[in-house]
Amino acid sequence: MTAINDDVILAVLARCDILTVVKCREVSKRFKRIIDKDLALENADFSILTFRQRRNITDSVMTPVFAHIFRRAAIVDLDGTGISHYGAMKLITDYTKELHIERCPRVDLGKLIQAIAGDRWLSYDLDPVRLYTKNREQRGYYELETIRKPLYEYTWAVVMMSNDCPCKYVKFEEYQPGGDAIPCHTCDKDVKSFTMDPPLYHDTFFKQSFHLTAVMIRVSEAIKRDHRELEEYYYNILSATSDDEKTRWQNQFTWELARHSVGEELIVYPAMEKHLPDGKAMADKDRKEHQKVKEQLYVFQNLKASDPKFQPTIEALWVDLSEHIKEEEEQDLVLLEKALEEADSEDLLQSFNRAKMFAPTRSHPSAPDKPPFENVVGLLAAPIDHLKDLFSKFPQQQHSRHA
Amino acid sequence: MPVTLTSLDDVKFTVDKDVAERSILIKNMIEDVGESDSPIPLPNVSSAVLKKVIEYCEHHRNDPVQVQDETDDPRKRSNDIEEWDMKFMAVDQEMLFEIILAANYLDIKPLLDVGCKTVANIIKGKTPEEIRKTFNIVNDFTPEEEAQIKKENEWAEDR
Repeated sequence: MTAINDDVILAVLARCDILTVVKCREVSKRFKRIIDKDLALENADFSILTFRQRRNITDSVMTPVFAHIFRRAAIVDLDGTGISHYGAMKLITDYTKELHIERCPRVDLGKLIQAIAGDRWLSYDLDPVRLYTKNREQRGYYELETIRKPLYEYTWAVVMMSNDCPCKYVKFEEYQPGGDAIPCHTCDKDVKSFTMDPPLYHDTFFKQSFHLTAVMIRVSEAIKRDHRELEEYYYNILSATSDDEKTRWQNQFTWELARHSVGEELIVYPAMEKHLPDGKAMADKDRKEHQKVKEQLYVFQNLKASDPKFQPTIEALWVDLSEHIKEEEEQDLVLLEKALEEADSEDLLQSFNRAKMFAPTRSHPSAPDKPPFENVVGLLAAPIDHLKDLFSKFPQQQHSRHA
Repeated sequence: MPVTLTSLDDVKFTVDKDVAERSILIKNMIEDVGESDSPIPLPNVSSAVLKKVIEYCEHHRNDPVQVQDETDDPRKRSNDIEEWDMKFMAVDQEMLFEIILAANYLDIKPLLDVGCKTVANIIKGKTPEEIRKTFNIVNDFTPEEEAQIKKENEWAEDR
């Protein structure tokens, strides 16, 4: 095998199924290098790709694998399935016929749409809302329409799909919660929708067209989801191979953390104070932790990726942040959810999402108002009272939409 | 008009032009140089391998020329090898790789394809350790590195 050049190994691997390719990473350094760096896995055989639910899987584990399979991949992990939304999107658009996804009842198509918007998302290129996807069966390009909406609204968007729709186009459609069955754009047939929470692991899922709708998620889930995103960005920073890539994830991380902190401080901590007997103490402790992290974030966001302090700084930040996240998820949020009625939790979630608008999200063209802060420094430096004032002036369009 | 090919070990093979031109390398060479009686030297291919390659080209001489753009093909599967090709590829491992290398060098896509598929089939279903053994590859990972990769790959375990 030593006489064989990389091209030939590459050619062989391109004819292996993906699971074999992944396994070959374990064979030797050379194989791993070829697979990780050079192999354009678009040519690999995805037909037997079967993802199984892996509860213990983390984004950091997935990222190195998927980052190269799907090139820009691994933005968000589909809960527990170990597949990124961007990856899933690629699979849906490119490999629909051959993909089987089993048992991923918590797949959030809202995130998927975020991921579809991902190219723009990362590059801050604002305009296009149309994406083109190649449907292999039809051998042509079809439009995949996403809805022109600020992305944060999609925290609410989860998939609906139907067996009834005979067309094979991938199509997203807006659906009002509690609304009637909607016609499929493509085939015009009324489709009976069912929500996420009968489980989604219908094995014809990705072969069918699917339709968007909204289902409720609780505020703690949204927060946890943010946490997972932060985790992912953190590991992406660490695993990025070029300074450019590091910088991109650094930006992503900085913004996400800033937005998330503001959301929590404005909405969640006051709610803790209000609903929990020890809420005040808990919230104060959390705020203190936030403050520490924010100070580190200040330093970090100014560092160039080439700076020798870059990595130690983010690592130190992460030590504190991950501890905070852990506490919050294991204690604070559990208590808070217990104290909240479901409706309260929904309201809170809406507020939480709204609060995050303070920072340009992945600045979407249709965001209702120009975010009051153009950069992270401005946002972080703003006194929380000032934010509260601004917040009260913010359009409550999510309320009106879901009222 | 026949074409003469000379192998690494200076053995001459005379084959029909359409057979020789299954190799894009040779085809281009003939186009560039024009038809001539002088033998075409193939310094990267031994006679034993060249004999096999010619056998393949003769069998497939009437196949339609493969379209360059394969992107619309169904995924290249490793289980759709023709029976003749399968038998043709039933050679020892060294020869198998020699054929692949020759196909790569001579630019005979279908042969390269079938060779790679054959290797892919050998790899399929094997553990990394078995793959190493089969192809005589040294495991150059430290135990820590190996554990790390195993962890990264955990998701793909078929269970």
